[in-house]
Amino acid sequence: MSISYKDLEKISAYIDGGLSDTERAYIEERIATSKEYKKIYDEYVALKQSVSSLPSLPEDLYFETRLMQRISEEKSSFLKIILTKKPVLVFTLLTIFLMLLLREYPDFFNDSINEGQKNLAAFYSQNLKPLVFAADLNKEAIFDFAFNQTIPINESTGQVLALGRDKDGKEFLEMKFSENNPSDFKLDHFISSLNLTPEQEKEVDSILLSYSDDIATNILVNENNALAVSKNIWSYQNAIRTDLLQYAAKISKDVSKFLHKDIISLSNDDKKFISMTDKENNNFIFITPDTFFTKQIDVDKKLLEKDLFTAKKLDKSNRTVLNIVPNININVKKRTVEANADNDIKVFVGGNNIKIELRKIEIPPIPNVPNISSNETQAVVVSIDSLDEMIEDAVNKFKAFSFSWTEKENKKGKKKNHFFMDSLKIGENIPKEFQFEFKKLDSLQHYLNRFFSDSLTNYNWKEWNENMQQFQKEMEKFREEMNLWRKESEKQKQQNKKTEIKFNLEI
Amino acid sequence: MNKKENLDKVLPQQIITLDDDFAVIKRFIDGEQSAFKILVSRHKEKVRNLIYLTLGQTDAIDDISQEVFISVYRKLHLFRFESQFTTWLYRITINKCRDHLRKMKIKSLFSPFSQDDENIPAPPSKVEDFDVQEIVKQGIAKLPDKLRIPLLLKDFEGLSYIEIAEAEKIEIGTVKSRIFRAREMLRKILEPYKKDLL
Repeated sequence: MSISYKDLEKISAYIDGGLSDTERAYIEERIATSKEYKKIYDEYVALKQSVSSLPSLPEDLYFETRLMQRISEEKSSFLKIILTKKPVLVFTLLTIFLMLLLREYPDFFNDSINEGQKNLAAFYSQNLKPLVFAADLNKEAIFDFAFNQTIPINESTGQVLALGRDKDGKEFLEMKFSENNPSDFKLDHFISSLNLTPEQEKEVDSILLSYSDDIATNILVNENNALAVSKNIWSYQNAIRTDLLQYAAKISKDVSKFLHKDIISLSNDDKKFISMTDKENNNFIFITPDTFFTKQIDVDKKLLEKDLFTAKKLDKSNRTVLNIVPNININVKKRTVEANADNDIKVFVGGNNIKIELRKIEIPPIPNVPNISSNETQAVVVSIDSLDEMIEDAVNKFKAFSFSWTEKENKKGKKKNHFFMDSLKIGENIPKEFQFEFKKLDSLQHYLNRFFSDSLTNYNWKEWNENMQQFQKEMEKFREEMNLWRKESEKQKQQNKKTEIKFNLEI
Repeated sequence: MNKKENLDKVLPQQIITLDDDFAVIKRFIDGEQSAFKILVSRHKEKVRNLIYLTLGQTDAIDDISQEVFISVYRKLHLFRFESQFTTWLYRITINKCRDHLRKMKIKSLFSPFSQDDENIPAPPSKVEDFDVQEIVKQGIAKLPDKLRIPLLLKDFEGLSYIEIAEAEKIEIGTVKSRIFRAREMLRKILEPYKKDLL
């Protein structure tokens, strides 16, 4: 008669006094009547006695002394940490504070920066006055502005504002010191080349001076050392040039004789440009000692014109009293600054020289409908196939792995395997003699369990299997989606062909 | 109810003698640092022996037992007086042992040879050639942690099923089952020495 598992457990509990009265009576009766029960009972009792009578370690007489010393050391080291790591603690607390702050108020930094930018922009855009307060815009200056792309902003320092368009058609704005370039096309040259009469000269003067107020109210300065240039200024530059060339064409049919070819070609483009320009654009480029930015500002043109009128009444010496000169003196190493706020301008800074380029606005390509080329579709198909290969390859790599061990005999003469962890190799380049092929993951588990036979390994293995199953499900889902997309692409491609044929027929 | 009220309520029933653990703990919580030494002196050997038998080796006994009492020192003010102090102490000891075993297991994965070097010697022809207690000790060391610890708490430390369940945070039925499985496994391991043990 063999003893049931339950009864074995009851015998074990019986010797510990862990049974109910009924169970105890049952087991006592069995032990009294059955030799097998008695044998097991005796063995359990012997085991219990063996364990309980195991020898204790020799007493450690200095245990308390060492313990109390360690406790006192730990106490002082804790204090030491508090004192020496104070900056770390402060930093940690600050980090926690910031984490909490950002969790509650995620846009804190963006808002702060925006707020700062707004404040800065507000500071530099207040109380702007026309440029004429700083420099006297005469007809020569306006002509220079139109054809030589410079306008004086401070006569005493010789600072000029260079603005125009480069060979690529990009608008630029540059603050620099004036350079007398002998090749510049001057007003005198214009008049003498056309052999203008005094009356005609007056007409040219009137054309130039009619733009005086417009230029003055589109280049503004203030006492905060800010220079604000309206984006319309390029339109006025082109307009002046076009007006003068049209006038020249009236006087002389062969204008190209005295004008450089570049100027003629530029003026042809200008006509288109002027017609497209929105003159009510209030977007200004600000150059300040601190920063560069663009901002929409509401310009009170009537007020600006009133300021201008007051200034013009005064003679030049009195105007100096009212001078507001933007004394921009930025000492920085030569570098290129990409403006973040406005990606349509580029700012170059070098010593006292600032150059701002307006970038050409790229018109995004208008997509064809539908826009799926056969190449793209093929590329995706290839990637699907290669993905399969990659997965298979990865699985194969995992299947083929190697490790080595040595056989060692124990005292009983029994041979045991000793595993070398550092010999484990997964994938290719494994010497053949060390290669194993496992058809199933279960067989791999069997081999691993020979070396890692504990519950931890089994648990991890289970988790691994679950992860792999999850991954497999996700891959299947992905594959289904890709197949669906591929079918739709094919359908779309077929439709494209039909549309193209129809279009050709219509032509 | 705060801790002090809880303590006052529990103490009159719990304190049997003046040297009861609860009274000593209360003195320590009240600020008497020397009371801690009494607790250490009372329980250090039990803790050291439990660690010794749980780990099956002597190398780390001193470090781990000191860590146990340092933990006790730090957490004693959190003691709830809801179970025996020894149950709480053994729980800390077991956790420390388990931490150590976990570290050793990880360490063994990266060592060139497995740690499986200790084998029970073959039964000699004469009884006097070997130490029975050493054989039992090595047999216990062969048991899995989850079976070895309840067996030691029961048979070596003399804890009740309830106390073991509290120390291990498992059900009483599980305690009973694990002790039985430990005995059964140990019985099979020590089968060749049965005549000498009985």
